Amino acid sequence: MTFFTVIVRGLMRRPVRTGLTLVGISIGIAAVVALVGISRGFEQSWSKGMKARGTDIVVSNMGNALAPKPFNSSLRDSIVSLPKIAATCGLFVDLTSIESSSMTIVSAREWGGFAWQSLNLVSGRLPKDAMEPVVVLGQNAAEVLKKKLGDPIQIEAKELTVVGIVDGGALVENGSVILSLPLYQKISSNEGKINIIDIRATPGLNEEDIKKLCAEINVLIPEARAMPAGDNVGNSQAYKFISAMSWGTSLLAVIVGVLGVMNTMLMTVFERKQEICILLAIGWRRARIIRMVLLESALLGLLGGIGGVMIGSIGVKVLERMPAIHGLLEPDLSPRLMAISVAISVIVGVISGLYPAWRSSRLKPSLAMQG
Amino acid sequence: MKSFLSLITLAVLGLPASAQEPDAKALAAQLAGLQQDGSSFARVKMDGKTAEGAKFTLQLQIKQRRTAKSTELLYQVLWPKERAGEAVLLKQSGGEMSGTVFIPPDKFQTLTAGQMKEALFGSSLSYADVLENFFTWNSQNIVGTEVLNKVSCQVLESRSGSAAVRSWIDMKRLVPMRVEKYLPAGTAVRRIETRFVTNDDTNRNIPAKLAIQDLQKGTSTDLEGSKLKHGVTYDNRDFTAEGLKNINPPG
Repeated sequence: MTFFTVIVRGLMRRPVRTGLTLVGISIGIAAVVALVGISRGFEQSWSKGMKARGTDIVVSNMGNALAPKPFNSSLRDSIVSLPKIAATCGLFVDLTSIESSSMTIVSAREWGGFAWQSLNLVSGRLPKDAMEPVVVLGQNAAEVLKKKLGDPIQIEAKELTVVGIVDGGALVENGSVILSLPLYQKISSNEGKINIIDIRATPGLNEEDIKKLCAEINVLIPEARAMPAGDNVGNSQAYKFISAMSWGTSLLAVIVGVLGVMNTMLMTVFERKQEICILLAIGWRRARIIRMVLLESALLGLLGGIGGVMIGSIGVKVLERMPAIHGLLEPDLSPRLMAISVAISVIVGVISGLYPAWRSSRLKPSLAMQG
Repeated sequence: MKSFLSLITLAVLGLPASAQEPDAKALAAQLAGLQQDGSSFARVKMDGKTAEGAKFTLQLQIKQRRTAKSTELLYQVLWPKERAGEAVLLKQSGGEMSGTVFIPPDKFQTLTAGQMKEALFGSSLSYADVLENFFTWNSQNIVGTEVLNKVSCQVLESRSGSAAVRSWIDMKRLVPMRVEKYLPAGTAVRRIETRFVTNDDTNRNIPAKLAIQDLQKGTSTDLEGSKLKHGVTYDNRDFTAEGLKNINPPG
């Protein structure tokens, strides 16, 4: 009988209890995978959207809201003159309810700006001029809004026509209703206002140069904040809140897991008191007993972690397909997140086993005689 | 010694309780003040279900001017196309309510006092529901505390004559999580539940999703806000019969 066999036998002694403990850990880890995966996916999809538009720096005022606050479009002119800036593009990005659907991203782009260049037409065409009363829809937006080419679409009080379906290369782009900035400014009575400036830096700048450029822009326009593309959503209050909520909920689930494993391991130690005492009597060292208990709880954590990753991934995939949020989620179910989740689970297992291991190491071999 | 300890215990337990005892009138005044927030513009999706089970969805825009002295509300239908342009102008000043309904292309109907209890665009809300600010009524009392959806709320009862309204107030965020209106006989006639709270453009907590039930007719309506902009500029004409026809949002 090997050391590992002893460990497995210890867990298999009470299969129902071990199974229930595994379910408990799995649910905790599934919560970590699902919640953290969704919130990180949200940030990454915005980041991908920025990259798809060829944006290096984003100037906006995110505040607490999900959509940035508007500012005067003339602010863009003060940035253009800065060195190391290749191009700028003003946008008005809004989250609004369209027709019978809930919140949809409306992305109004400066006519002729570089943000149009990353859109690949799947069908139809792009607007012919800045004031043509038309929109193009990202693929997901078309699906969610149930629109096809030629369909009318009402934005605010204005009825526009869908003339194109586009692939923007990122979930955010594909979930957007895209139209020209002057048209949207007129429809929404936001003439002269934008809420995002996308900036392309001159080629060859590294991360440090981009940060320096952001600092220069921030001095020029205190009304908004320039950040490297992708960082702006991650730094918004709304995202930080969502992220904190995800980690907070996950932490609670993990604490429940710790208590479950600790309870199981304590019960195991109490029930196997005689066995442990005999092992001590036949020459096992106390360190080996500690290692045995810790490995048992770590194995519980490992199996629970693997189960949790599977449950979490399946759960997120099911969520993604739900009609209410279809096309709005792009969870980050990366191998890194899964590895972190399993590692958390194993650590949880080891931490949970510390006290039971310490208790078992204090048993005296003579107790084996007491039956 | 034992009685001394009891005294200290009573003092410790008693003092914070009296210090935290909310003043109903002050609370109502605070909530009334939050409603009287000047000129604003809102976009709302209304999903309704009639007593017969028929479902409908409307996209609305709301232009409003709320002050301590008067309230002016203009509700306009933006979508669906066949109802676009329908509008209701509601006013309250010195306790008097008035209203005008506009059906395109040119039908105007003045609402009588009796008609103020009729449904707003066929929803579970009446014209009076959206107009009156019961937090300004004279009689305000805290009648209890209750936990609603894990949120601890103070129950504020507002009375004016035979009319009574109870509001479950989340004291941390100062948001009504539930409002119930009662008939003089004490029967609940309307229930409004807050389903989601968010921050508005002034960083204030506001209900962003509401579920309304007309407990007599058996109808229900969900309201989901998608935009709220404060400090907008309105012309006095926006709140006249002429303004009813103007569906452009304010600048």
